[in-house]
Amino acid sequence: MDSISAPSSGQYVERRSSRLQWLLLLVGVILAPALSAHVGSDYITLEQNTNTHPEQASLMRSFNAQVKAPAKPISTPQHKTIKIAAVYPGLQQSDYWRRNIQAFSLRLEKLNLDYQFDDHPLPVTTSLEQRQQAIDIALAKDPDYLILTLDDTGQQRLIEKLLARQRPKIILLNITTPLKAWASQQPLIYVGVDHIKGSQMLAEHLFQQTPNKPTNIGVLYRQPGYVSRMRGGAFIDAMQQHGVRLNSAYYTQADSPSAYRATLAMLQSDNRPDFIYACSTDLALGAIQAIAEQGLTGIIGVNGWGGGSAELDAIQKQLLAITVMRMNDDTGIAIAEAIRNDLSRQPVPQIYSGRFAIVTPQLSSEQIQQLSSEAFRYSGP
Amino acid sequence: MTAAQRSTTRSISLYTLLGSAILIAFSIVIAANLWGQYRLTNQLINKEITNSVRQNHALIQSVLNGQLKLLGSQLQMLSQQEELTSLDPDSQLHQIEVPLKALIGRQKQANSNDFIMLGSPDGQLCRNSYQIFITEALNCNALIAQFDSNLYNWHLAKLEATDSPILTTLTRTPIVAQNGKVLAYLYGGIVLTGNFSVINQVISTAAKQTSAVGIAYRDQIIATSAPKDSTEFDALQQAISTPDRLMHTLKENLYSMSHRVQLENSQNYDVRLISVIRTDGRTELQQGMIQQTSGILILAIFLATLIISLTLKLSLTPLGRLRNLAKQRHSGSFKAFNPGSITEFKQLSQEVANILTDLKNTEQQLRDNSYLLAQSHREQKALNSRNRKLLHQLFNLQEQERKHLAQELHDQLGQPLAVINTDAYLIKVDSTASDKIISFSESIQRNVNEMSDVVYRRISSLRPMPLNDLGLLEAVRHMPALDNLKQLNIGLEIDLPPTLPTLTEQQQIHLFRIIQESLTNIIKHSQADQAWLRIQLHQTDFQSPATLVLEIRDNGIGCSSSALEQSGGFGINGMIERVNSMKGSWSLTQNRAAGTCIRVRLLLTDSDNETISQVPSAPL
Repeated sequence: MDSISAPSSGQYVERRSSRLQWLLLLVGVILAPALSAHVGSDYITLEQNTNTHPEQASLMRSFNAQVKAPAKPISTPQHKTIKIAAVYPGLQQSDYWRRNIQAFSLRLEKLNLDYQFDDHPLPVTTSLEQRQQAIDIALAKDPDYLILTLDDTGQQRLIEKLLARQRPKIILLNITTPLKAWASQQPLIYVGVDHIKGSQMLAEHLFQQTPNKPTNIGVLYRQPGYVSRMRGGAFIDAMQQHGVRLNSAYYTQADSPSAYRATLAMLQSDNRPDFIYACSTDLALGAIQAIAEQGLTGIIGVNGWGGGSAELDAIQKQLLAITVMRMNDDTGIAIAEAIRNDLSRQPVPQIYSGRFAIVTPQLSSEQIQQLSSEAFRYSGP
Repeated sequence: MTAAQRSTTRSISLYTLLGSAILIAFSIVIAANLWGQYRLTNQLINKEITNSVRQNHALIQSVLNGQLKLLGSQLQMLSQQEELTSLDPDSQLHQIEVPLKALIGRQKQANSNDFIMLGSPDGQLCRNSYQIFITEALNCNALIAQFDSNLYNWHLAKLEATDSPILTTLTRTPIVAQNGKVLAYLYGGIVLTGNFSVINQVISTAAKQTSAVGIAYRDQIIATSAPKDSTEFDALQQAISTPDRLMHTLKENLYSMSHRVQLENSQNYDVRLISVIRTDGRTELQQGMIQQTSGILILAIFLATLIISLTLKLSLTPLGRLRNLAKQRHSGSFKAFNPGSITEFKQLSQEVANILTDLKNTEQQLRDNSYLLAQSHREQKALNSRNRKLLHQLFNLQEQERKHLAQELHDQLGQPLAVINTDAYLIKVDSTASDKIISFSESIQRNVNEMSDVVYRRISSLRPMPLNDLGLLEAVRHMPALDNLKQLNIGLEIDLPPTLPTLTEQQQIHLFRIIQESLTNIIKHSQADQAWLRIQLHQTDFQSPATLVLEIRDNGIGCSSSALEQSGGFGINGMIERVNSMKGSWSLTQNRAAGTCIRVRLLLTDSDNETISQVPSAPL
């Protein structure tokens, strides 16, 4: 898993940038072994995966280079149009999914792949039955590849059934820890960023680099599930190791309004937290709104998660204290490259884990712009 | 029927013996294979035992997982009860506990948790709401403090008790208010220490030969089906110290093995399941296979010894006979050789018989040839002797002929020439003779003198006159060849003794002819400009006979034997035969740098029959 540093502009920024780079590297080095040992046993960590399958390490390295590099058009003759479908929680304020799908489509075109894309973005609050219906609609067109995500056990059952059918080939986005239960029949690739690593980077940066270190925190979870558990659990664990107290925790509907309400409740309680940890962009935006309404902007910190456009905008306006920024488009590009490799019968690694960077308001707009250019190199500003 | 015929009918091929050996080897291989199979079976049994252990392990893992899942879902169901979720978001723990206890009371039958605790979101406060099977009062703070990670559902926690720590599983689920706020966490779990429910579930469905199972935490057995003072318990203890290895307890043929048990969604790996397997059938199999293997091996070794002895006897006996026969090969008793029953030896004996017959025939042929050769040699020797005699006769005849011819020349041609010379002289000194006549007479005189010289030289060469009158030394000094040397500017140093002992006429002639022949060779072939002729006498005292040494040497280029032979007369061969006839010794050395040297040694005895050394006969 790579971490990238913020860009520099001017001597001061360069010094800060190099410090940031050093910090990110240090954080990465310190956390890397710790992370691998702290994942629930349902999942296989990246390290466990490479230990069990040593060939995966080199395969991942070469695949990472392939993702970073410009597109090389496919040379294998394509006998038919490939059909790709995606069912994902794309209808949310976070542009993570939209940008990924955009980057994915553009990369496919640059790879000269003849494809047909069936897009099914769903609201983040969609029930399991509705997701099932959307998947059924996608399957009716008999796609070759199906892009899904995995957050709850209900969806896990759905995916298991699809894996058992062996068609279409499943690509899981936003998860980088293979499920042990699928050991014999894994999806084509797990693509995403490491939630635990990102959360721990946030916690460490907050504690090491922020002058006003949080002392008690409130946590905004999404619905109960994989993402909440990984992002929320990892952050709370990391903060508690530094003696930071968990003041209150709220489960939400993974959207801004529910986060707004939860934040208001936190702020209005007698025991108000001095930092609110949001497990996603939408939750962070809801929290910002509530904090602003209470006139506590700059007093109570909020984090972003993912570093999408909305978060970067909020960072520049100093509404967010910090965010962990994914190199967003890399994951979309990785899906396209995985399909390319699969079509040309080249090996596909089991996991693609994207890069991160910590972004704070202390970064200059040029630095943020440079990071954005890197993160959104296909989906654009 | 002869012995040979009988042996033919009883013929055994070595291949038969080899086949027998292979058969025995095959038996040994079978025995080894049986042993291998025993080991393989042993391994299979071990594998089977290991599989049984793994099966038990999977079983307890499954039982545990099932239990924990049930506990978790019951806890979750409890947390989602309306009585709890509809509470005021600002409710305190004691306010939450009231409806919680009521719910537990109502659902007691459906609750599998051994304890249920209520904890604040920050983990600071807690209340012990329900406990069963635990005699001690729960210290909820101590237990919750062991819930060290939010990433995992299940944890292992130690509950301090009076006797010894009690191990429990621990999980939690949030009680979420309707506004999403986590009101509190509901903690629950089961006690693993002494949990016979789990143990009995495993035992009831475990592999048939499972004798006992146990759950261990680190190095301590916390629950087991085995009584404490039993062998099974000892086997359980033994397996704790060597995890993941199959241990064998000889006493009651028990096998034990421990494996890690992982709680679902936990990072704790300190719990182990130990299975004890009893394998009575294995001992029977072991004994049976050892008996069978031993029996086959003993039989194979016995048969092998027997056949090897027979083979050695059959092989070595004819070899011994053959060796004895070889010692007595001159006795001609080979036909009595009994090659024994081995076909290959019979074939070998036949081959040896053929070889011996051939050898005998060859020996006879060689003997005949040797006799013929000896006869031929004798004939050759006689022929040589006759030839030598003939040569000597030839020498004598030649000398007589020369002598006669010289006499004839002297008498028939010398006298008239002397008369013509005298007449010419008288004509020349006649006062009346004209100058022309005087000139003619002087011419006649010169021609006559030249003729006389020629005739004289011919006579001398045919028969050296001084040899008869003055002896060898004077004959050598007047040898006509000396003039020829002088004419050719070849210097000659002559070193002769003042006198010689009395030599026979034959000796004188032979020595003279050898000198003459040698000088002729120098003139014709040597290209020398200097020659030496020496005759020496060696005599140690007057009593002993003298030795005459003749040496003719030059500084020329030497000459080939063919050239010497072609020099006229009888050449080298003639010289050798002359020396031989005098019973003297002879040597010839020559090279391009030092020229040629012929040396003749002649022992001068009273009796000519005595010789100094034997001279090799030259081919004639």
